[in-house]
Amino acid sequence: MVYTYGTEEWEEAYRELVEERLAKVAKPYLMGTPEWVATYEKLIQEDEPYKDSAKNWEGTVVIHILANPAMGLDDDIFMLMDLWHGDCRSVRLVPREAGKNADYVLSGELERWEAVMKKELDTTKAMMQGKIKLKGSLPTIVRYVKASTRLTELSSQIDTRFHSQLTDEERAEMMGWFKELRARFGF
Amino acid sequence: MAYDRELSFIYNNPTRTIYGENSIRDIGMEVENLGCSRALLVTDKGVAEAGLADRVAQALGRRYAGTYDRCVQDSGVHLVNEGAAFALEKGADSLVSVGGGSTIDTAKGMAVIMKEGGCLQDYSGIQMLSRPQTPHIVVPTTAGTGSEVTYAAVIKDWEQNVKLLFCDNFIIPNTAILDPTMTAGLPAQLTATTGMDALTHAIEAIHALQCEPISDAMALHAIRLIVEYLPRCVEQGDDLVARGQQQIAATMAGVAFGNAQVGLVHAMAHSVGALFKVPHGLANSILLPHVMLYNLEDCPDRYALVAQAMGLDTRALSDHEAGEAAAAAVWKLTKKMGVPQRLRDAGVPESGLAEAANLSLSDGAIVYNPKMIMEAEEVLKVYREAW
Repeated sequence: MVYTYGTEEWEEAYRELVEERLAKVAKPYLMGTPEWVATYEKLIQEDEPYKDSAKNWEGTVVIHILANPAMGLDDDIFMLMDLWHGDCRSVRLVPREAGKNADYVLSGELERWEAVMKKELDTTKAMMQGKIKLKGSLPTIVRYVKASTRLTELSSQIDTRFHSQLTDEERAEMMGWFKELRARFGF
Repeated sequence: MAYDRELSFIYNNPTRTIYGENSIRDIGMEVENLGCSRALLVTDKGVAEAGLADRVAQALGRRYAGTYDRCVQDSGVHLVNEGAAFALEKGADSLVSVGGGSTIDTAKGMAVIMKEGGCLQDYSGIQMLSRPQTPHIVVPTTAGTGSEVTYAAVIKDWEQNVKLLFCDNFIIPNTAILDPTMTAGLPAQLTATTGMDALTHAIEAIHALQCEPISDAMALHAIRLIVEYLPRCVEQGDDLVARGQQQIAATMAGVAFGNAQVGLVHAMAHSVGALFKVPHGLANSILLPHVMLYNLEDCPDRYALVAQAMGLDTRALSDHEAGEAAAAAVWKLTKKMGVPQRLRDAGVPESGLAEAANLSLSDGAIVYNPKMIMEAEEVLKVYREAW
């Protein structure tokens, strides 16, 4: 069945998908998969330093990972974080349109995000060097450097498998099921 | 902050830089070097009235497409759109900006709209562009902003009353022509304060978190040149050797901070500029030594480098003492040039300091300050010292 993003059906089906995959898939989770995103969401929701540093934050933030077919990512991924006054209301894989329209969009190549999540690349530095692009109001985001740094730190705490670590067989298999999920959920 | 195995950087400095007395005469060839044939001159009324824009127009000869002279301080989105439309109407395929920071920023915005079309606000942010923009040559008429070599532009949306920041490698001008004769008529006080803007760029590039060895070299030599030649420019405006060396220093400082970034001085200067119209160079000049002392405990070794570049004898001093000596040397320099020393002398009311401190927390430059600042109270302390 195909779900329309923004509807209750989509949200319910997405939650079921996450539960199913968390029960089925063994760790470490592949970066950018629904189970990885759900783990990230839980980490943010339970993190007191994040809550404290983002207590006045309002707005959606998207991590946009650019497609890299050679690495098994045949289309872009948009990971939307709905953040409000220190709460993380949700983190979801979302369709392109929804991702592009977020208040803040951080875009980068898959390798760059891998480096960020391995703590090999500082996000602030990466932005100035053009390795990661930022769309959104700079004066607002600047006030929350501590919060955004914390979000990055949390992503690096997830037991993660990266696309670059997949074998060719694993990559081909992943592309198959991920394509099927994209077709159902539009992300 | 000594460098270690974690050092990692990308050094970027793509601007072709041409220097020499009357080097402006080569501008026509430079337009053609960029594969262009018709350049629109972008300037402001003051520069036009001083006859500087005419000199450039004449040098452009058959490549001259017209002049847009409506640039103002705090450039506006509406001016960028108007200027870009005018350029296209005139059949221009390139831009030549002649002026200071606001004029250069206006042309940077025009270069984007001429190439991409649409709405300038769509490109606000960090590294939003994905291809080279309309070719842009800069002829600075001040020696301080370094905008001729930097990737940033600040353009105000007057309707929304917000300043939009554009940080993009694709807006770095293609060519800078540094001709000391173009700055020879700059009044002494403006020479001093714009020159202090350059010194602030250089020193902030040394203490900024993104500092690296190549930008260090640019910044440290800029400091050496400024300390020697800026007072000469102020004392004798027609000293073209001094004018030229100061121009070179401003450009080198621009390259330095374009790579290493700036810090708290700029965040605070932008705020008092926005709230109380304090000219940027003057605000930097007043705030610089106070911020150096505020940061000192976090990077004394960096300020020891500054002290050495300023020509101070640091052999018997600890890094901390050398840093203090560097801050004192900045005061001595500004005093010598007759630049106001306190924010109160620059029209900042004491009652406005808290608002300025709060505003500084939203400035992108603060992210790169060596001492992490999360509370407005911290900034306010520095403002009070400088007031």
